[in-house]
Amino acid sequence: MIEIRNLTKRFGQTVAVDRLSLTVEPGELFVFLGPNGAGKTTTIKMITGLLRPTEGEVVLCGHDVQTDYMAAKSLLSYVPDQPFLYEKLTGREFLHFVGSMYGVGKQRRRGRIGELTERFEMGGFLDQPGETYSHGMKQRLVISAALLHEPRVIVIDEPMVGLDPKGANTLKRTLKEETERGVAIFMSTHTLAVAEETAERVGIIRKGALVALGTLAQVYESAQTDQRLEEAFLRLTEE
Amino acid sequence: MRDLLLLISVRFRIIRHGAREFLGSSRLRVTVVIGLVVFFWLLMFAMFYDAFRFLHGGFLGISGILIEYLFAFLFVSLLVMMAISDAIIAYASLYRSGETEFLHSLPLRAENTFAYRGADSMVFSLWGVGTLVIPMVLAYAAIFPTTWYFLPFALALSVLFILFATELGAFFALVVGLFLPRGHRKALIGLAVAAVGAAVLWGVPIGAKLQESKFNEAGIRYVINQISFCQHWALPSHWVSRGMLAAAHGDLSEAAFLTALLLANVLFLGMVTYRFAFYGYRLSWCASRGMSRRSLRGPESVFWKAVEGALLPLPLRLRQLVLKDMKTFLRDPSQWSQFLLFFGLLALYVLNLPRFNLDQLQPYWHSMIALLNLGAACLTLATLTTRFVFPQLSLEGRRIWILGLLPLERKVILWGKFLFATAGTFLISGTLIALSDLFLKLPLWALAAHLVVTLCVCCGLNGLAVGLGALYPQLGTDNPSKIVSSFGGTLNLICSICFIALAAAPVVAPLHLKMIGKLEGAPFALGIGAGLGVVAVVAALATLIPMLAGARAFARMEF
Repeated sequence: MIEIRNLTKRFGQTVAVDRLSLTVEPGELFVFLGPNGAGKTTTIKMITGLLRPTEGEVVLCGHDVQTDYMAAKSLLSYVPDQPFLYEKLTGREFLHFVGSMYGVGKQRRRGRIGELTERFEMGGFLDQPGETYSHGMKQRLVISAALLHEPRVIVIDEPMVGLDPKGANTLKRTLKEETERGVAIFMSTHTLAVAEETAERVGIIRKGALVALGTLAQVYESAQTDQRLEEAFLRLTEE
Repeated sequence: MRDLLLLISVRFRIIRHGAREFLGSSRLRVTVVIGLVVFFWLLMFAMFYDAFRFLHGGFLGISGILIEYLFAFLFVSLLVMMAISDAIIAYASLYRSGETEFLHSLPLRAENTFAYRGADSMVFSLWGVGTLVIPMVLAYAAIFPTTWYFLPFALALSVLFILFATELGAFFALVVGLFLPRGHRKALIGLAVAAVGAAVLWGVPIGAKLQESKFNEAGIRYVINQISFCQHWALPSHWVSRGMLAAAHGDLSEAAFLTALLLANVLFLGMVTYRFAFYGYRLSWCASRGMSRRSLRGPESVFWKAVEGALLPLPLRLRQLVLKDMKTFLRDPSQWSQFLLFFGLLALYVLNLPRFNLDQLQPYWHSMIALLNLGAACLTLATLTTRFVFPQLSLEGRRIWILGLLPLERKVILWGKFLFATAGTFLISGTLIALSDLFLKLPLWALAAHLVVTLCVCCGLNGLAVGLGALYPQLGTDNPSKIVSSFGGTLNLICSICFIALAAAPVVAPLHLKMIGKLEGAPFALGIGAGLGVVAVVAALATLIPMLAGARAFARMEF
């Protein structure tokens, strides 16, 4: 569960995120939308504890990200829009490293790596060094690393970039399965079709403040449109 | 602690893979790299050996005292340089690296991330000590009688010394990150300016006193007194130098005591820094994430407009490329602060020249000092072009496709980098050489000849650096130190030193002989003309061959 309460971030005079409050329940896939520079990445970095809020708090499964960050981080997985890999490690070594960091035992790690390798079809490249991977391969690997320790909260930024249609489909199915397992997922994307297809609830942010929050139907209603999400998004975020 | 061990094991695995990849690469490449390392190491050993033999033979009575001071001064200088350089590397590693952000997203204690990333600079310090201190210690053992335990103590003290400097650098980086998160550029400028300023304040009275004393016994005693601070009991550098010499002289108890003292301080500083990181690192890292909103409008944009105006004679695209490189360089404190330190120290020396009683010296010494200044400036340039110009193309990194897609020939991009680097380095080194010659009251023809040589050397060195940089790019890393220590960087440094030897030699003899009155009239004109001609040809070859090869490789490069 992700609880965001009155979250605010200021950079000098600029207010990047303005008193944001929302909750993502266990088993819910929440999609966060907004134009460039609206404050999505700042919000994500505050949720993951990579940025300190100027005001407000983020609580993950009962643990405050700032004051109880070790407990919060051990329940969390974060997939950034530009994933980091150790280029000189093979994919398998990278997965073992991340698994160890989260305290996953060796046997369990091997089993999970096997499952994820099969699911994301990484067998062909998992034993090659990361520097030889394409963007899509890297994306599949970091998503697998994020799922390895069976987190309770997943924060994922632009997950579909670089994935081929089959990979994207696998990811969508996987995210669905994770929510069925009770995982709270906070996803940011610019691909509105993915949001329409996967989101249970949507939040739209503009200039740091939420302008819409709710199910797709509620968002359409607040945008006074019965069209697609694109139309609602454009109406709600226009200057 | 388990986290830290895991991180260290991953680092070793990465190093092992890198080493396996290197050994599996072309045999020629492996041979050249190992050969160059051995050659450089032997060169350092030979230089120290020669210096110690000179001291042993020429100053038999006071060689012991001189060596004590030399050791102490070398280690105190090393401590200052390593602490500043480690602080800069640690800052980049702790606050700006992609790996650090990744590690912060893992359930890792922030102080362990700090310890792991902060130790990055230790690798570079190890390299420096391995190529400087080890040959010095071995040369000392070859000339002076020592005990069997001198070498083990020297090794232990060197390792502890590196650890101490690394901890000090990481501590400084943490202080800057914690207390000056929004002003870290100013802090780094302040650090560099303070270092140069302190050196000026310290160096000027010594120069003045030497001027009065005309290098007599009293003058030398004064200088020894002035540098006696480096033998202060509280300085860790003194424990190292004193400990090594105590071990050499057979004073086992003092050597053991000083080693234990240094070890205790390394552990204490390590504990203090680790605790400090426990309280402050995560806080300062988060604060450093929010610094990207700095506006570059205002005085800075006026400055760039003025620079663009000065570059108007260049074609538009080339002008924009040069401007981009200048902005990239000047907006990265980890780049220009080291540049400032390099040339700051050289400028300090040149500006101190008038304080020596040069009028009293024979023309022979005027000529020698001027030629040595020229040599020092050229060698500094070789280091600078390897450190700052060679990595230029590699630092484009994954953005290099932007250059590749520009609607202009790729060779223009390389020539733009060459032009920017040559103009910048000649402006600084030419000014220093001109000042040095003016202070030495050399005739104008000598000044003109020195400037021509400097210009040729600038062209050749930058041609080598830009060309080899394009031939051996390292696009996978954003760390200039790693690019410089690659095969291409090492090759560039060796080629640069060889080039300087080839380029400077033809003019040294005619210039020196003319200064001491042994070559006049037509023979001198012929000698200097031929010498400058050879310099120009060597410089042209050193510029064109790597630039053309680099341009060809860059044109073929696939992104």
